[in-house]
Amino acid sequence: MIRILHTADVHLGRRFPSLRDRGREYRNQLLDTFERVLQLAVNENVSLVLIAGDLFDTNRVHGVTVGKVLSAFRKLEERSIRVCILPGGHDAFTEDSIYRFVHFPSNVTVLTTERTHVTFDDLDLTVYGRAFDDKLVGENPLRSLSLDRESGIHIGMAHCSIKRAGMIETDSMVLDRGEIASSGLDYLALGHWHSFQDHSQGSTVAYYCGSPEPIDMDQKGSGSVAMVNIRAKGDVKVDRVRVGTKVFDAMSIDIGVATSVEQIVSAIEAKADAHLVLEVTLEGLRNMDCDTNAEEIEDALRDRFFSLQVLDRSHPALREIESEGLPEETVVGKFVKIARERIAQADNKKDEALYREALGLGFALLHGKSEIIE
Amino acid sequence: MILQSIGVRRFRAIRDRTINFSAGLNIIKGSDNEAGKSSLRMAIVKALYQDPTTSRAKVQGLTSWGVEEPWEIMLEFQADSESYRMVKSLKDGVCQLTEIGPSRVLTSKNAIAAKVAQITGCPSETFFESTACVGQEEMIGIIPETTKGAERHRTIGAISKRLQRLLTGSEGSDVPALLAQLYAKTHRKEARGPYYHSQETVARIENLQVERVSLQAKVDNVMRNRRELVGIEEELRQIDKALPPGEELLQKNSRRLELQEEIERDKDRYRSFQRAQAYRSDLVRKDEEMAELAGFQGKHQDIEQLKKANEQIKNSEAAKAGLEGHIQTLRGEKIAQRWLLVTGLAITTTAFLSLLVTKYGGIAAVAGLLALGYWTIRQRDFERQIRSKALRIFELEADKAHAQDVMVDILGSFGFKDCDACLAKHGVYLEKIANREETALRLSGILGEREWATYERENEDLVIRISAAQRELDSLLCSKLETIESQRLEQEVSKLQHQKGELETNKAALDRFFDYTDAATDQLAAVEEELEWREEEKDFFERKTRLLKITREMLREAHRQTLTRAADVLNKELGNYVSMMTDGRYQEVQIDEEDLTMRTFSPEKLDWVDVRELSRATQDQFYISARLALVKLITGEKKPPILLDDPFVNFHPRRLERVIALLRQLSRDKQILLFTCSDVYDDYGNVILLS
Repeated sequence: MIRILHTADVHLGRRFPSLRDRGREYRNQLLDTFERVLQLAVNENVSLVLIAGDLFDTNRVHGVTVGKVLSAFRKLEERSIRVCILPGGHDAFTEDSIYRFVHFPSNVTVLTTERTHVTFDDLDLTVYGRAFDDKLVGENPLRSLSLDRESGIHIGMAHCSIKRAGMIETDSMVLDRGEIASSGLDYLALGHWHSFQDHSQGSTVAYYCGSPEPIDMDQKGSGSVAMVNIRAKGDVKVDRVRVGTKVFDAMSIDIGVATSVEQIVSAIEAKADAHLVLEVTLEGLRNMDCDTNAEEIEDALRDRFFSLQVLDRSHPALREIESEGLPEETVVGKFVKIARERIAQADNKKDEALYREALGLGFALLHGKSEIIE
Repeated sequence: MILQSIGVRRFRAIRDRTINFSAGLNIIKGSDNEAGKSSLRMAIVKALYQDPTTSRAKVQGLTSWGVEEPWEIMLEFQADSESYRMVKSLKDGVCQLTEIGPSRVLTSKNAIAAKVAQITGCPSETFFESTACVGQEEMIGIIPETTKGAERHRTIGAISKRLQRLLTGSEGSDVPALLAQLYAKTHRKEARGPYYHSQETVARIENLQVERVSLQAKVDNVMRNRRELVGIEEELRQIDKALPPGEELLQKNSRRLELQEEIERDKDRYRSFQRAQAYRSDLVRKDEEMAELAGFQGKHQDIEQLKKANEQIKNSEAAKAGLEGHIQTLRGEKIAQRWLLVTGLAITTTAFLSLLVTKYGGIAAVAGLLALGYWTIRQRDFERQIRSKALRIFELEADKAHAQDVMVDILGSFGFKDCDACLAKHGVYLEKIANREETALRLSGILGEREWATYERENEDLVIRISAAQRELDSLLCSKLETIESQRLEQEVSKLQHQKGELETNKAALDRFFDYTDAATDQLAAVEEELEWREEEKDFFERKTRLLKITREMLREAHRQTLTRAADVLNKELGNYVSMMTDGRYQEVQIDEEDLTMRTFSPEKLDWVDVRELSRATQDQFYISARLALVKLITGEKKPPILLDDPFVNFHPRRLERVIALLRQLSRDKQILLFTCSDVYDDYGNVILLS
């Protein structure tokens, strides 16, 4: 039986500005998790590790990150575990490709635009792959695939999207489901989409393994690798193995129905988890009685999460401010009138929103809520 | 708006009471503080503004103690020529406003609130309380005498502040303070507002940008060097592909030339070897030949002696012959000298004879004697020479004989009788020796210091070597290059090698660079990451700053417009009110539209004075006058009832009279409800007893 560990989209060196002061920590976490993935390969006694693209987030990586990756690969070399790397969209095989510069140990093969396959005679297995350079957007990664008839097992690697009706890919190669079915491959290791997904077609077993750690907010299915067991031709089994330490999640809260800030805080606190990266969006119309301050909520709950970001996309409920009811000979009445004029005269949506907010703020201040600006 | 009646059930101190009001001044009197004056006042406000569906404890708590059901209020009033009935029941949450004439009923609390706001000109309970209601606490006279220093200072200017507060239209906000606060938050770092945070963020961004430039330069350098290294490695690969064939070809050609030379050398060597062999054979033959002449061996001395003897004999004979010749010659010369004798004799004789004649004849005799003397000497010399030579001949004969003896001995040892034959034989011997030596020399020239055996051993496989070299040479003939081709190829190879050398030097330098560089993209990523979210943060704070600035700007404008309008109204109206209140003492008032501070013309000082300089009681009068004037301004034509909760309780009776006069004047135009314990107002309005 041949055991293969399939991973992709590690994105080492990626920046996480949305995580603010924890961005560096998470970037280090990506590297730690990758090292654990390779250790998993050792523990599971795999013969081959496939990295289907975007091992690095950019070709401009140098220093500790590269050093640690090489060190990890050397450990696999000691165990005679082979590694195949396919350059992806982020670490594309361009003139400045990191793969042209770094000298990997002898157990590592990088498939390039020139070298599109490698055969492991002892495993009776050939790995095929077409490296992405930035000229291949929209191309079929399995085009001109020619299987080595001497080899028993055919493994493909592709860093691409699967064709979706009505979608035009602008940053990757594209694969049709029919092309998967007709490829003749026993297993196709996919990369680029960050969630674990089955796209098997015909006799070809095809999986996106997902990224070992989530990279963006909308990636609920990440945090794993694929363990592929090939007993014989046509007998391919894939298991999902969780390796990720963090979860990214997002939630929206309609503060129009919230009666107090405490209610909002409770709703967020209910999700508290030290390994959770949570993005909370406050939406809806903000009642005058509900004095929400996104920063204060973040400060209060920050320590309960790995990272918490509260985005205030709510709007003041200006229905409470009805200028008809406000005597014009008062400051409040005149303020509302002036604000409404400015809103009407605003040049663009941004300014209009700003004046609306100023209306709400001024109204609240005039009603004694000076703590808003404390 | 005119309140007509109110029915109050289970509200605070009022269990169940219906009270009718009249237009104008209503005096609601209670003999003590438990009579229910405040409850009635509050009931009127709650009837107009309270949402009866609320569960707020404070509102629920207004229900009279000891009753089970919560309060209910019914208020009837007129406004804009229409009659209305308002029912608010906390018991069943009823909220209903009935327009009695057209029988229109509003039950929606929002619609009712809007209608009440429209009628009263006060959009909220708070607004109504702060505008249409005047309580005791508003009057500046309440400030205790004992108030001193900063606390007293804070209260000074309270009139204008309170008037401003009234004009704000809401409870609890001090607009100038708000404006100052907004200004501080947007202009002063110490206020720790968005301006401060924005500046901090900008400063951090600047530091990060400086750091980024430095890191970026390092990383760019790394990338540049990386690109260069990749390029160098590629070039080296190309050279490593191109160089070996050329080098191999050159090597083969060089080997071919080497082999050719080697073969030539070996052939020469072989030829030498063959010559050596010939010489050696010759030597052997010569040695054999010389064995016959072995007798001469080591006899050089004898031969020399023989030669010497032979030569001596010959020399002796030659010398003897020479001497004999000389003797003959001498003899001849001697004989030849006879003329000299004759001559001498003749001269002498003649001379002696002449002496007989002349004395000068002696001179000739001398000459003649000299000639004879010379001849004698010469004859003697000749004799001597002849004798000497004869003696020498004798010696030579002796030498010759000796030499002949030696010769015979030596010849005998060699087995010869004839010297010439012996010497000739010896000459042959010497020739053979010379030949042999020449041959030996030639051989030695080839052998050097080696023994023949060694030399032979060294060269015995020359033929095999030459064959092998020839075979190798034959195999290399395909690599043969003409001279020009070879030179060109050498140049190319040399150029490639030179290039390779340069590239390897550059590569080594770059490898050293990468070993020692401290550039790390991780650091740059961290800096760029922070820059990104700091920029967002900066945008956030800048927006917030802009928001506060806009709010302040609009607020300031609203405040300015409000105060300007209020000052305008007060400037027109307040003089009458004040004149009435002060019995004409103060008639003219100037209001500062910046802050509503009041100045009045002092008849004593004959100048304008700040109202704050007047007595407390007078300030109260100015305040109440302004307060009532502003209610009119704020509510406009709406004319809500004015609820006065005994604000004149501390007024001096004489001042009170003037207040009453003002109230009566005002009540002609709007309904006034005065809640009081005092009887002093009984004659001036509709008295409603609450006891």
